[in-house]
Amino acid sequence: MNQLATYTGRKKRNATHATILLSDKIAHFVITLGGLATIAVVLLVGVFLLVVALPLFYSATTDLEQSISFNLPSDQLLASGLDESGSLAWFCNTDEISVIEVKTGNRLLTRSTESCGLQQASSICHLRDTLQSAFGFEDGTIRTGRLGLTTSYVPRENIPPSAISLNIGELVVINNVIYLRSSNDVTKKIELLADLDEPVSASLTRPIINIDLAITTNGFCVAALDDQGNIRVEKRSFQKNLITDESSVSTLEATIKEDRGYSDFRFIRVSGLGDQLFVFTRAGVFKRLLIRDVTRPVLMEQRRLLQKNQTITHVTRLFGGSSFVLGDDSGTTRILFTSRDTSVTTKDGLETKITATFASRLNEHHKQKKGTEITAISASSRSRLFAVASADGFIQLLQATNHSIVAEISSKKSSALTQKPQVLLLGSREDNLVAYDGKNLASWKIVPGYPEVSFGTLFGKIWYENYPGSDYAWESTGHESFEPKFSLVPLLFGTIKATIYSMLFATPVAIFAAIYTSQFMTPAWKSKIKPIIEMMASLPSVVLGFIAGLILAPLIESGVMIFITSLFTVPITLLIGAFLWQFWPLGLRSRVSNWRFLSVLFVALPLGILFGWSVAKPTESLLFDGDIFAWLNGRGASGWGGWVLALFPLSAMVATLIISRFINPWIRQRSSKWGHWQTACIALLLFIAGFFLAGITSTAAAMFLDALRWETRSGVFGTYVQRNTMVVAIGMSFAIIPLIFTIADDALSSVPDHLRSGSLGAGATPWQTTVRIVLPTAASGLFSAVMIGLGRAIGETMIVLMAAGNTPLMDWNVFSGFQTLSATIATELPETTQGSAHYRILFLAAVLLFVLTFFINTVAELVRQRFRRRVHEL
Amino acid sequence: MNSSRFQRHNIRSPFSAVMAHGEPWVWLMSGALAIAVMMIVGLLLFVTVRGSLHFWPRPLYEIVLRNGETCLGEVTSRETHINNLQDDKDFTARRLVHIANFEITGTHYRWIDENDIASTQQPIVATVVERLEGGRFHGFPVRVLKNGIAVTNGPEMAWKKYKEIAPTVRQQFRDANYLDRHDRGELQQRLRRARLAVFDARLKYGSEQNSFVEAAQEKEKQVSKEVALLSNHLDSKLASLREANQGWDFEFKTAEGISITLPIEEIVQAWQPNNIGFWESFRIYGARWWEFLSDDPREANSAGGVFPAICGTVSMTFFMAILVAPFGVLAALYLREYAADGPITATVRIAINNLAGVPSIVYGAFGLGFFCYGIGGWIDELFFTASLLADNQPTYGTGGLLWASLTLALLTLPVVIIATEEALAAVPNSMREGSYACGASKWQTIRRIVLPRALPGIMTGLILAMARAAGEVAPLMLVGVKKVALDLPIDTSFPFIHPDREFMHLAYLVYDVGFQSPNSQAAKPMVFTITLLLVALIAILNITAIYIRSHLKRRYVPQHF
Repeated sequence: MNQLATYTGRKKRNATHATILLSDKIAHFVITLGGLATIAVVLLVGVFLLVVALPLFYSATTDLEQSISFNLPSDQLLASGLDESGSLAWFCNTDEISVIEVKTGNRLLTRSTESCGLQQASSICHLRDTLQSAFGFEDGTIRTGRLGLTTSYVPRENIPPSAISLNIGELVVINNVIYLRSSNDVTKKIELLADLDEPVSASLTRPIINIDLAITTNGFCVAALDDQGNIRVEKRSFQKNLITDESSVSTLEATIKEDRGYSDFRFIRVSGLGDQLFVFTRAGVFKRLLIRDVTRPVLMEQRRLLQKNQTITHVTRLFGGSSFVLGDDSGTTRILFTSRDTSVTTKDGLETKITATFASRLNEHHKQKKGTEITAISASSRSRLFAVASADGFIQLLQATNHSIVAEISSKKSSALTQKPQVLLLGSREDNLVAYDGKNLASWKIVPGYPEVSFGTLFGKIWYENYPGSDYAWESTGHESFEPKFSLVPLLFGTIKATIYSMLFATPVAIFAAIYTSQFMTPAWKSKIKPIIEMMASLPSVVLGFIAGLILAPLIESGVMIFITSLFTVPITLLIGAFLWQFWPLGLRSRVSNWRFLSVLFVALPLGILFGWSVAKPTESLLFDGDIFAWLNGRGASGWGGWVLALFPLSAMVATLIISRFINPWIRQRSSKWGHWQTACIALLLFIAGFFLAGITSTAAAMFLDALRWETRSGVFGTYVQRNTMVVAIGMSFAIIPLIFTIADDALSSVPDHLRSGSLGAGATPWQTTVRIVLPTAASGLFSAVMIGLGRAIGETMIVLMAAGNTPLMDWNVFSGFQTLSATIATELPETTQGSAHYRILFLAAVLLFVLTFFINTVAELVRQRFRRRVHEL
Repeated sequence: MNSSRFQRHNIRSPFSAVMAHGEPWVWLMSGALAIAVMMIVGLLLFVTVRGSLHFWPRPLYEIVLRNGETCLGEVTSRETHINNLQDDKDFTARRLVHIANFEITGTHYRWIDENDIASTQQPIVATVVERLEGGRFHGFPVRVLKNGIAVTNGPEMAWKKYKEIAPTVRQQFRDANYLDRHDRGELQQRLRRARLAVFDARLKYGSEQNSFVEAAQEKEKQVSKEVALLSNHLDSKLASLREANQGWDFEFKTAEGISITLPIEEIVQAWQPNNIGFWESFRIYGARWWEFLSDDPREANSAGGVFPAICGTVSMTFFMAILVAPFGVLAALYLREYAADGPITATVRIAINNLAGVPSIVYGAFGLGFFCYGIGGWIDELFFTASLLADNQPTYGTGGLLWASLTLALLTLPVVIIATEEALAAVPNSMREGSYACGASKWQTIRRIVLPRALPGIMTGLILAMARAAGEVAPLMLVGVKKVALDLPIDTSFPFIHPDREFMHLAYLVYDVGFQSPNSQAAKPMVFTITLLLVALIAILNITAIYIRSHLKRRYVPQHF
């Protein structure tokens, strides 16, 4: 600095003031830091969304917590379970019920079966979420009751003195009650519950070998099987009188005596709703009875499920209620459920199918069938996750819906167990797993992740429970006893459908309008028209959604034919107007060219709509037997009307091409002596001829396609619903047209004037200049305008939410609704719990939207920059 | 160039001259523009007309049907109805009549066939009553009662008496309600704070008895005593206010002849549309607009006012502007003035440009996950543990004004950055160079030369961002907009600004009233009015942007020399 200052021969007199230097430094620092931080935060959006969504794809982990040697006094194990947190286990055998701390193997409580009336029990079914149980006895009687560990939270003032000073995780037993300090402020009280309800059902006389229980909406259903194959079903429903508050119990029952010699039935199961009864023999034969009316069970199916040499070892009901896991002696696990199918011959139209098979690992690798039989199955009560143990010590966590193996544990390899597992208990929170093999008690801590979600369930076809086959389905907020169905495909499809149909309408209108304003309007007019269109851009989308969903939807429904015919008559009227306009001499035309727009706006457009209105009825009776809604529902006999509508634009294009390619040159050679009037007449006649040519071609093609029995009604046309794609397309065009229009107009206007002037000066008409000079130059700009419109259409939320009906369908029908990614996020995200699979899937949907729009916008931006450079060079 | 094409161009014929003008294509393009103009003008006209006419008093018709039924109502619309789907000739004209009196008729609207009408008249004394609950009431005044005893008789006298006492009764009712809601709410807040303080002390110093916990408990006892005292005081005040109102009733007779008695304090407004002239109509029109703009909503937002929503929209937009302006300008200044031009800056610029096109709902999801659950949950754990554990009620861990403003700030940030950058780029380099030549530092140049010159552009970008935020709904549905939130985010109770509160929003109200209202037919006119208000608000913001742009441009226009 100092040296530079001496150029003038003088020394710099004043040094820059320190505060100025300081403030400059501070400003530099603040702006750089703040600017970089702001940019980083903005760019963080996508990263954060991905971080939330990614845990969906993490695989499960299992950790052996401990394995202790432990044995129960008797082998006759009837039932077992865990408490709510999974730290205590209980085992019920013929002599006693004992509660064991899983961590140490300490026996905390024991109660003899005699004291609770279970000494004669031969079979117990225990539901883990409600503790409701059904008991079958040696003498053939059946009782219901409650069995298991209940957990309740103790208020601070009720904690017994000896339980107050517990450390976290410690427990103490006081008067047969376990007190457990679970966290800083919470002490839990855990009690063993084993009580039996009255009455006793005693219609069977032989020992009960298997029993099952299902809780229905207003009661329960018990089914028992004795050792001779006789079945007893009872449905009990409790009704509460709303006025007197008295509850009444009604019991419906049936005994099915086995008379056909199938005495080897071993397993009996009822469906979760209590309407189907399943009995299985060990050899793999099963019977399905419909017990919707319990007093009259009807046999629906009787069939062999497995091959001859296979034996069923376990049958367990899964979450969802109507599917079962079968384990066999070869180590194979099968999922089966009944579903409706049109090709089925049973009386109720349902058929039981094996929908998934998990082959055992050893089976595959060693071709060895011995010693791999399934010895225990434990199903989760909150999802379709279940654990399977086989005799060789393998424990697998499986997911029934997406057929995935969530985790595998080799208990022998880690020497957690030495014998074959006898008992397998999956914690009710799906966070721990306890196994017992007669000598050891081992427990694993598991983090299942999101086993119900995988790439396959999100983007592939999945065979859900009670579905006739694999399908894409989005059903996130159903009843809590059904599994949610998370396929993003219907939502993606809806997004794409909305975008395509909206763009189909908005793009031509916006681009044409932009060409007209930039090329054929005087600047004075343009400065008036452009703000009007841009005003459209500032309309909030919720307003557009309201107008589309609540005003346009009923309006279009009442006049759908008028709308359809107007789509054709308005352009036709405009063309007729143009041909009539040509009758004016050229000089006059160019002088009044400003009036062209006004005459279009106030004369041709209303006339076109009027024309559409007047031909709506005749068209409807001609093409759709007089009632378009009935026709769309598939009632009209012939489908050719739809083809005519669909093919007319195409045939009009073909006709235009034929005329301009072959007829125009021919006329041109003959027209050198014609007057202006005559030429205009010929042009008009030519247009009329072209119109009829298009009409005839499309009708002929339609009849041909109809004769081939091809239909439009399963494609782009179909049943009409009020809030449909067409309504969305119109509503969305309010948002997209101004966007595309503005960018396209900017692109067209930025084509250098010298190009235009040159062309006009060389004698080209404005139209020729537009088509041959301006459009090719601005093409990339127009493309980027369309891409930006596309990006907006993909992400638009409120219009779609309010006007699309939000049904996750997958068809191309213009008259049906759909559901998009964005609308789903908007409606469902506030209702999900943080961290749930649904929550993360919605974030994944947001990531998809982000990536889609980011990609499209990047392409648009790159093209636009290229366009700018090119224009700059010209 | 092939020869045939060359040849074709050489033919001079009137036909090619006509064809060269491409008139059909030009007309199609003109038609496209006309359609776009028709769409926007039609929409704006439609909204303006439907929205502004809603409050105008319309005549009440007493319609006697051929079967002897009578009803009293406003004719909302007429249409021709096709009775038989097979036969197009068989149609009748019918009217949609707003018959009100939901508790008697079970419906608000009714279709009446023209053919069924025996006679129609406009009774002079027919009265429209807007009441607090149950929708409108249409009937004929009979008498005004005080404690069940008739004060006046005859429709005219009763109406006169009502006019006389209504303002005082209504005012007292409002006062009582204000006391009940506001003052009692504050007392409850005090109680809650004291209770949470005890809980907090327990958390901090252990559950065993110690001096801190005891002190807090002592405080709680004291506060609850005070509150009980104040509450008694409030109760007596309320009782006296309510007593003054109680007993004033207005008896009406419906068209069917059923007698209905309405407490006067629950009558929001009443008018006799067949008995008033233009100016009186205009006064009622104004009064209903005033109620709309200044009152709380009633009946699931389908009636009453939208003041909380206006307040919510304005405060949210304002907060957003405060948040977005400095950061947007900082980022733009960095990109334009400090960052070295290169591939990285170009990439960042493209990325920011693209973020402006990312759907708003994506920002909403980000706001919910990052601000509400992430930062909000963290704040709650640090500072509001008691509230979280004792009441299981998140303070910042759920949607609220702050998070909504931040989310929208993020959403509009790219727009503001782009606008600011463009404004900065528009400042001619010669001015910067001139400033440097005079010895100014970089910051001085930016502050004194560049920023003032770029200010109109920055302001325009900011105001356009505000206009966008005022109309945005989708992200707000996730981060804090509520269907009903009568506690305003800015009010007179300490600390005056409540960034944690959920709020109402005009644009969300359009969605909510239009789509989630149990009585959508009756709510539709209300939606139009809200829409009109929203569009007007956004138009005002846009016009302000244009005004500021031109105004500031004049002030800071550089002197050319």
